[in-house]
Amino acid sequence: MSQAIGRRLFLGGLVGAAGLLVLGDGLPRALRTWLEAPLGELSPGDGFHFYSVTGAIPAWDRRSWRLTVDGLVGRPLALGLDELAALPPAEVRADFHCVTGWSVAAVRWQGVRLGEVVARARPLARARALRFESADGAYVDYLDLATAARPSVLLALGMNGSPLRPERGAPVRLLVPFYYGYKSVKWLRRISLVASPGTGYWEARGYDPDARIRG
Amino acid sequence: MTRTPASGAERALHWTVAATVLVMLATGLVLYVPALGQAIGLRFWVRSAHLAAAAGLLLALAVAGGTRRAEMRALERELSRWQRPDLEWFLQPWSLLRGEPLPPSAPTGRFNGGQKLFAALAALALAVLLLTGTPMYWWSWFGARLVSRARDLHLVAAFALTALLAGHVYLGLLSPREAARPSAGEEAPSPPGSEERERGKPAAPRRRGRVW
Repeated sequence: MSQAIGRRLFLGGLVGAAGLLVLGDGLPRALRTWLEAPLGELSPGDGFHFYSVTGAIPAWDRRSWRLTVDGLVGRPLALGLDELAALPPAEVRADFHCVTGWSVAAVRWQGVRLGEVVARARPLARARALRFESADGAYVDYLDLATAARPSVLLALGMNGSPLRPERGAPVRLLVPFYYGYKSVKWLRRISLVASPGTGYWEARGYDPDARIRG
Repeated sequence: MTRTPASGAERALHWTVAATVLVMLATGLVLYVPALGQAIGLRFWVRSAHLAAAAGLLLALAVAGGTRRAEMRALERELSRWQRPDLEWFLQPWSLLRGEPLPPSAPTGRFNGGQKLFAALAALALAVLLLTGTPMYWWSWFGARLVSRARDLHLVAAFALTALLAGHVYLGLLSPREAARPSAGEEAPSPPGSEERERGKPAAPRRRGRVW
């Protein structure tokens, strides 16, 4: 008799893979790392993978760069990098999680609290949310005002003690440590106070609006 | 030039699967390799092409299974059933690498052991890619730890599939069928149980062994 070896290989392998997916602990990662090892540069030095929704990293010039805070505010701001850096410093240490499954443990972010900057613009009573615009011209995201006021939400100027690198969002990025990385807008150039949260870039493309990191 | 004994539906399915898999490998590479991702960007569009190709592959399988049910079942049975000559096929690795004619397939089927192993493992890799791609797409329904394991397994399966495809294309380019089937001119797949020798192929001496 012939035997259905192919079917058994397929089903056995599939059951094994499902087991690894649900209960696998460190083995899937060890397998992947072992396969990637000869390819070196696939695992970047700081652990971050570079994602962009446009084709290029926005260029900026230190003298002319401004972060705009406008919309429903009593006092619109246009902060230069030195003005921003002169605000009370803050540091947040957090694991960075991407929805695509990679994480970087214990990243230290240096910057200023978002709430500090927003308060200086004197939000009007009607303002309920913040709209963040990236200098890449495409990426937009929103936070409600209460979330934005949480002390761990930063305008990050540095990472692990060094100024932000261009691919990490230089000169300033948002950092929302309790949300998945797509909420932490890179190359931030404009914060607008608005009456209600709109739909962010990825939410408009199918992402769940609830970005909380779940174990 | 001799023709492979594949039906029109089998050829259409083969090349549809090939095209969608190549799109997924190419776009997956851009999503995964930092240098490519940085050079191309446009993450939403690359991701969309990746997902569209996956949907296309599933659709092709559904159409094939729906319209040619009996034929696809027979094909699955042919690829899945192993006999002793299929194992013996693996005992000649050097003739494969040297590009010499491959040992003939089992007397009862169109496919040799290598093709049967490839079919099972490639199907497995694709199924694992689908299984792990699901939580990667619907990440908010799953925890970060499971999505992380899904990503790792997705990459392992993609590596494995790439290696399998390299072997598949290499052996396919050697065109062993022409050497093994000098006079096979018909298009229709041989029904399971028919003897290849009836179609004019020289009998191989090793064929005496009982089926495995």
